[in-house]
Amino acid sequence: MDLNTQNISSKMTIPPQLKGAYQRIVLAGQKFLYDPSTRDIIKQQLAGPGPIDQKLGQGISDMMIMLFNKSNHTMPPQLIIPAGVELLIDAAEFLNKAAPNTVPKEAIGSATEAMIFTLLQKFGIPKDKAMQMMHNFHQNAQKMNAGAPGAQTASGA
Amino acid sequence: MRHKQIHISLSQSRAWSSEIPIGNPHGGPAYGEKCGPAVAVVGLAMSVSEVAAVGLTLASGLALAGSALGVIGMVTGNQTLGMIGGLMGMGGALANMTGFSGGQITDMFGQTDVGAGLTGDAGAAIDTGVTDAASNTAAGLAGSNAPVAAGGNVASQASTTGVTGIGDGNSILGGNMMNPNDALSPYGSSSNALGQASAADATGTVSSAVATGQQVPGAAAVTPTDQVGMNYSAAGSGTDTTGGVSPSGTYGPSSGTPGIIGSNAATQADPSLWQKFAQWTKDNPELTKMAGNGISEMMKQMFPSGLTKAQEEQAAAYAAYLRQKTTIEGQQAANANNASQLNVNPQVTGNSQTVYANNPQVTTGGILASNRFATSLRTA
Repeated sequence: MDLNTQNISSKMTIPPQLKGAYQRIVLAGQKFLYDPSTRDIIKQQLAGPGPIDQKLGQGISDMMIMLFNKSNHTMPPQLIIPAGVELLIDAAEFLNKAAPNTVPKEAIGSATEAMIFTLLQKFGIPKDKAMQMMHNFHQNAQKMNAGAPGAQTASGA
Repeated sequence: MRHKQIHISLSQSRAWSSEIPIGNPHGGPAYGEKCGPAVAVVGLAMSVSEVAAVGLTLASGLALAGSALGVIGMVTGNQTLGMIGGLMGMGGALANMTGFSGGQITDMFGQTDVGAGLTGDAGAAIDTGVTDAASNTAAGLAGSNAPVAAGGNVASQASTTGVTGIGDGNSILGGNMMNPNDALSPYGSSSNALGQASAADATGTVSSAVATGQQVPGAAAVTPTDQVGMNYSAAGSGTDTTGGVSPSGTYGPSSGTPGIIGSNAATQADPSLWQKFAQWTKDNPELTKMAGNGISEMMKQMFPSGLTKAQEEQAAAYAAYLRQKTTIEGQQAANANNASQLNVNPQVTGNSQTVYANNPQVTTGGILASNRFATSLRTA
């Protein structure tokens, strides 16, 4: 499967009531990324020292925080990561079209990982905690899926 | 004689200027002038409890993106993303079930001391807006957050967001604290947010003070007349485990990156980017105004009122246009670069027909090389 925005977007499971907000966040991010008056900042950021995956991941996470701040915190926080992932893929796709193999496949993966954990870290969730939370989530989801009563509060109680 | 430049922070500058006027005796802050040193500061007013609450909801986004992350992990060979996809992939289906709210997703993360993640680098409970004292009003993006940041009382910050019941000993998850229908808070936090924080927890120190409505001891005294909306409570030390509140109760010196006041980790982006941005706004005031207004207006319209369908389509078309335009420009630049740096296999010398003879680097290309070149151009 190719890594492009259409494929990735189709894999996002955004609840219907949040789809409008999600599209608007992605649009705002694209405007920031590609607007002639702001793209020089992105260029400078990407031209700086360091591996491309770190720069890309860090840059997109910074942008998402900026958008979150610009919305006066009204942007639904649960959409920050999904929108960030789509924008990162979008940016990588764009960079690769402009100059082939600027962002190799492996770098896209590590950039996405960097973006996610940078965002979580900035919001007070270090990587080890995040992984622990995800394991908890998986266990609870399995219990819910199996129809076990009280699964939701199993670990939180 | 070598001139020694001394850089002082905004707080130091203000402290000095209030007591010992330097330079123009009829100017300065007392006369309404805002000519302090340019600083690039990021973020909005967010208490530690808010950060933790937002962080949990943010993490619930992993459930929505789980499948996509799994795909990215699979295609790129990234094991961490593959694992996240495996762990969170089921969340998407659950989230789409009727009545399954974000709060329930956060509940499913289990009991995790999220606030502890802020220990050590959370700094002050409040951060400040992106502000360049000289040009914040024109910048659009810069400085527009500043009024929100005014005021240094942590308790009052929390009370404005409607966070109640903090520190009552209940679960840190506090039930449905991200219910978007709650009118009290922009995050819908109507119930317990940080109740689990222990007394020994550095972030708990702050949150317990929030719970009782007390001002954090030693919190910065923020002058109500502060006109740029800055707040000086941020100690921001990377090693400060007392919630980052300056013990002296005075303007907290930032021990972080120069130019950054406050170090609320949750809302602070890469300082280098913001420093570049601040410089760029100075260098391009008109463009900054356009970009700032454009994005500000767009964000203003986006949340919470939203756009009409026609406006959304217009914005989408514009974004697509910009993207296409930028892509073409990028391709042109890349092609120009390719043409000047084309390397030809020196073993392919049998064909004497030289293409691009005017390019000094392409002297032995021949048909094969030119075909390769053309192919690379088509695929670029």
